[in-house]
Amino acid sequence: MKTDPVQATLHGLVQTFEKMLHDIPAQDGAIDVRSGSFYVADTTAIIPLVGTARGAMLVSMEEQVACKAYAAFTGCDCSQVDDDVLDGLKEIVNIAAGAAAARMVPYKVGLGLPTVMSGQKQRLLGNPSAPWHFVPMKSKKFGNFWIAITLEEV
Amino acid sequence: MRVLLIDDSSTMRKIQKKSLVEIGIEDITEAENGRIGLEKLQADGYKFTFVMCDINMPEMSGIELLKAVRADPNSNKIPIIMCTSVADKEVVLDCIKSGANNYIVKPFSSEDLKKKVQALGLMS
Repeated sequence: MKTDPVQATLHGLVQTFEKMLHDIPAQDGAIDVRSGSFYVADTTAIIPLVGTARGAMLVSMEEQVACKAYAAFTGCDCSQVDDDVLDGLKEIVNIAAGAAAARMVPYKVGLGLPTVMSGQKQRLLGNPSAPWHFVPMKSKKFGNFWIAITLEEV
Repeated sequence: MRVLLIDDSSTMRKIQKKSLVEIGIEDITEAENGRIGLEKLQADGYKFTFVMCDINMPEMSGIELLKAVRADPNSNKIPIIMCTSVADKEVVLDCIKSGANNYIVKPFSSEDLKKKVQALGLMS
């Protein structure tokens, strides 16, 4: 049976938040399919997906949301987004992608090294053959954020 | 109960330390990779109750550490729980073959970790 990569991504993200950030975020609107170039939020962690299907997954948050998520994740205080917070977001996307990849049947998908971008008005340029699927998420504890995936069969 | 926590990510060490504290384990020594972990294990006289170790690390990986610990008669009985972010059968098999007592897949809750420690017979 083939698993929808978007559903696998949602599962991985929700499982990560539930177990490690003690919150269950929910989808908050329709999935937005994006190709070409587009803006992402101030703090965005991206991880490459490699294997029999390839692409990438991202978690994108405004600074305030990232700070709250980091505090819940590590148990440390957070007043501003610094390197520790960026590293925390990197771990969140790494763990969520690991859980998602395990469900991307029938593909065998491994993880590359995650990268975090921080700053305003950042644009991503996607691959035209594999559009990004952005899922708006809402967390009662942290606020709104996005998760997204792009995946194509090799 | 004394735990040696080995992970190259300082963020992951913070998170795992938080989980260990939540299940009542507060005597925790941290190491940034397998080599430093092995040094701390030796320096301590092999008295840790158990080791919690990441798999992918620079310098000395978790699997390399496992093999080194199991090859040394001073440390070959210390329980080791391996942590992985990918529930890959081959990775898990490699851990077990190399001498891991148990493994835990991220994401995990404090309750999940407690069950793994209980399975080692170290906690009721």
